[in-house]
Amino acid sequence: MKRQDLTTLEEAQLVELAVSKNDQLAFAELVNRHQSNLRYSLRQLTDWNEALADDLAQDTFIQAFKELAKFRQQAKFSSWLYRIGYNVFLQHVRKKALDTQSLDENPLLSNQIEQGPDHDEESEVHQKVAKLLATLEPERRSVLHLFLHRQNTHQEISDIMGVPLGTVKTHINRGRVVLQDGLQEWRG
Amino acid sequence: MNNETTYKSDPNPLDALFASARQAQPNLMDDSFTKLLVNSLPKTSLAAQKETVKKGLSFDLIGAIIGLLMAYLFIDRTSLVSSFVGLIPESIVISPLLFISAIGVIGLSSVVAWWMVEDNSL
Repeated sequence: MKRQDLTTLEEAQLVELAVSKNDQLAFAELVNRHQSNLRYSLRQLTDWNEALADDLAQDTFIQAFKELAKFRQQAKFSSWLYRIGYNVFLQHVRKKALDTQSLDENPLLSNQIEQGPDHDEESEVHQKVAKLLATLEPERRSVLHLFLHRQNTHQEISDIMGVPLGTVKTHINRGRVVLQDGLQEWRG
Repeated sequence: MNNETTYKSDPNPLDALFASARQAQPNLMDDSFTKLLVNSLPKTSLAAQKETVKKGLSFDLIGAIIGLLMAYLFIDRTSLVSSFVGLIPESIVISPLLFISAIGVIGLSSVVAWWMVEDNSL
């Protein structure tokens, strides 16, 4: 099947083609549809480290391709993909012990947020959000990203991340306080 | 759009900041990302690999059954069993030196195996 024809297919059909016929073009079409959102989310989780986020996104898609047969069509493909992405991110954190930095501990970080990098205003806001999220520990960071940016419900976050509903609520309540404090501190 | 102004004027600055980011989320269209990814995909998915393994196992199983059937039909089982029994020694004599050497070899192998596991060589 040609790539142009694939763009008209539903996600379920693309998954079926990729699984039953090992059609890499069908999988490439799935990648095309989801890569932007996944890469953006991973940039938010990795303190806007573009290279690292893209590496993690690559790993996520490769793992998704290997495990595509396990994907149940009842779930949203994007949620399933994000779950893999979150696990890839967490594995990276465990391996590299990515530091969570607080604004108090790192005045340089505070200055970076205040001044912003040499980018336009739009990219500045993304990086500010990423820097703010970086003050949280990885699991809480992911929960807050899903809740505040992706606007997922508590239940959806619990399903995506495989953590209990109560834990999600706790992360949101405590995470919001930390982020609000960080935002106030940065705005002076 | 001035994002700074947007979230400063909102009653909840945190929600407003995230709303600004959400509205301004870029579309990261990058063909090279997808190309690079497709090139690094394994040639077969896990499902296809499992299918290949299953086929291989079926062939192995059929071969084993045919082999056992032929052995059952053509081999004299009584003489086979008696020849095996004949291989078992009536008594075993272990000298103290042989016993100590055997213990030493087993102990050394255990230490090497432990070290390899700890060192993640296995």
